[in-house]
Amino acid sequence: MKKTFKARFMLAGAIVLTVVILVAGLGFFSQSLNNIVGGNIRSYLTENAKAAAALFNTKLNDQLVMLESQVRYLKDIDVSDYKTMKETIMSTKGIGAFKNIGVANLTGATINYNGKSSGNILLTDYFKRAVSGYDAISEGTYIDEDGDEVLVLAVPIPDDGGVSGVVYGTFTKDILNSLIDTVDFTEGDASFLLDADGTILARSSGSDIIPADIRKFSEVTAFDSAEDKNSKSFTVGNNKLFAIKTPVGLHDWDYVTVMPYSAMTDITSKIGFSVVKLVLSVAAAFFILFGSIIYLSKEIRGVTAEKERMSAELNVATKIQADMMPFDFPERKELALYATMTPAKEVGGDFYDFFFIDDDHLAMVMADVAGKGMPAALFMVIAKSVIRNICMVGGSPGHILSIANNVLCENNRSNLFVTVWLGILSISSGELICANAGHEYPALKRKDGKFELLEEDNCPPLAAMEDLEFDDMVLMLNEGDALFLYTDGVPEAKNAEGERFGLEKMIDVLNDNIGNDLVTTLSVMKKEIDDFNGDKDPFDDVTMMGLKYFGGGNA
Amino acid sequence: MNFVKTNEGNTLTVELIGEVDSMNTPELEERLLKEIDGVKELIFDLKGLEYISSAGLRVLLTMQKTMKSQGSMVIKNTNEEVMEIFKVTGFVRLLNLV
Repeated sequence: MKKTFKARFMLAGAIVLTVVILVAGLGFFSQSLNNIVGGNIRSYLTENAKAAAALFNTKLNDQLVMLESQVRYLKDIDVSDYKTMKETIMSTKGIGAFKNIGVANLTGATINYNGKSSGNILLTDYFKRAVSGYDAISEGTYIDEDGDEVLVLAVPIPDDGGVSGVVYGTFTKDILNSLIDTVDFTEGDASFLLDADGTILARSSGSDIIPADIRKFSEVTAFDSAEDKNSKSFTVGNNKLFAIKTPVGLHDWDYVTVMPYSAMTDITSKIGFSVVKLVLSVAAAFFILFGSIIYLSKEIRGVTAEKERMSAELNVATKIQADMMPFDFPERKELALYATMTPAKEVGGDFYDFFFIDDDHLAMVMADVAGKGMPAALFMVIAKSVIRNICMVGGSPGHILSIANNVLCENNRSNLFVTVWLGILSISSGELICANAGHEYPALKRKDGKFELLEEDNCPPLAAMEDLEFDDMVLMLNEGDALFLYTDGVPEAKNAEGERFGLEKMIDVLNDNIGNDLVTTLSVMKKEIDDFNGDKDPFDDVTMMGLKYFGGGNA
Repeated sequence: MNFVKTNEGNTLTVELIGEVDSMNTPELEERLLKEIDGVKELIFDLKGLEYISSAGLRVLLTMQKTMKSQGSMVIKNTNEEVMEIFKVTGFVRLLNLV
């Protein structure tokens, strides 16, 4: 529970930290973005203004070319004759974006294709330039016959190496304004065409950031910045604006692009927003991944819990196993009997058993089921009761084991087997008849001697194969004799270095404790094994049984 | 534990090296049961086997029971240490030691 709390605390910390880093990072990012984008927008606007100005110039030239095409109607007539000139121009149609197309002879007298005169244009700048043989665009606007403010384009009518007159076309401000819109591709800005005086000749749509009644750009700002005469930051009303000025390449006209700072911020915001979206999707992906990990780890925890539950079951099994071992050791003058079983972490199949077949006959069993876990534990339970039951029916240990073997062979699909040492002691006589079905050799001590292994030809374990014979062995125990039974958990205890406790060490410990009672001897043995294991969990059950025979005459 | 196998026709020779205990027997059993499909003669070469626990003996017994229905199983080159285990456990009487 504590661990879970700690994990949650750490998780919450990690999320908070992530959010803080994200927010701080975004703040920093947005600031740098403003700077970078701001700088980039200035240079972008400058480039764009240059391109738009050049394009605008081209568009005007295109219009001049269209105007030139009208010259063909007039070059072969006598334009000095006003009537002829009037009839001819009125027979033409409009072309290009012009409001009006008209013709003027060398006197400056004019007539347009609607049959109206624009008055005498002799003194205009465009007429002067056109009669000298060049295409002309008026340097500023003029008021035409309808009272409209117009820009005038004019081309000469060539005549024998000279000029006989001028064809002119007029652009209203609306036309100019729409012309500007066709060359301005920057979003969020407004563009202005200024003549040499700074008078606004034309303005693009969206140009109301500069009030429409402003006729001269100088009324809002002058390009007088010390470091750059072509850019200027200024304020109109509450709008903070930024302007870029570039020459159109015609007269002394300028093309001015105005961008509100808010548009720059908009772009920054747009980029920032995209980045935020990106970051959020990455974050979302991250959290989905993180969530999956948490979910999976919970699943794993579930599995672990399941494992723990099974382990708990096995602990129960271990307890049942332990509880199945008798511990009401006989208190008789003829003998002392004591046994212990220490299960390993995982339930194994060791067991010991002892019981009186009758007043004079004590049966002792030491056994070990091959394998571990529930199957071994269950098999052990069965084996223990089968052996005990058959013992009660009677017979020699070898006979009992051969019957038990066939019983245990039935339905033994897992090929489990159990090594069993079975001994039946006649308490009064000291006669011990025993049979060994593949179990560890018992250690026997004669009265004044030392413990020695009782090495005989062992029979196979029970349940390994059907219809086996098990040999009986007869020992006579005398006063002062002792017997030690054990499972392989004793000699085969393995330390971290891979060394085994070994039978020699076991015999040594037994001999060192000859004077001690069985409880002490077995606990010393256990301690020696534990010390040998060190920090390593014992891998196998450790089961021991000791018998001291004090003689039948002690009854 | 190491496991070296040699196939010669219907004969499979399995060399067990190191220690066979309850930690590695599940894997050993699983692999052996896969390998003996169609094998007529299974030979265990135990010259490199240092120790075999009761769980390992169970695998030998399982293999012997399985081979009984499809051929034979022999164990060769049993060294002294392992022979001692076979003696104590009475497996000398169960296994076909050559």
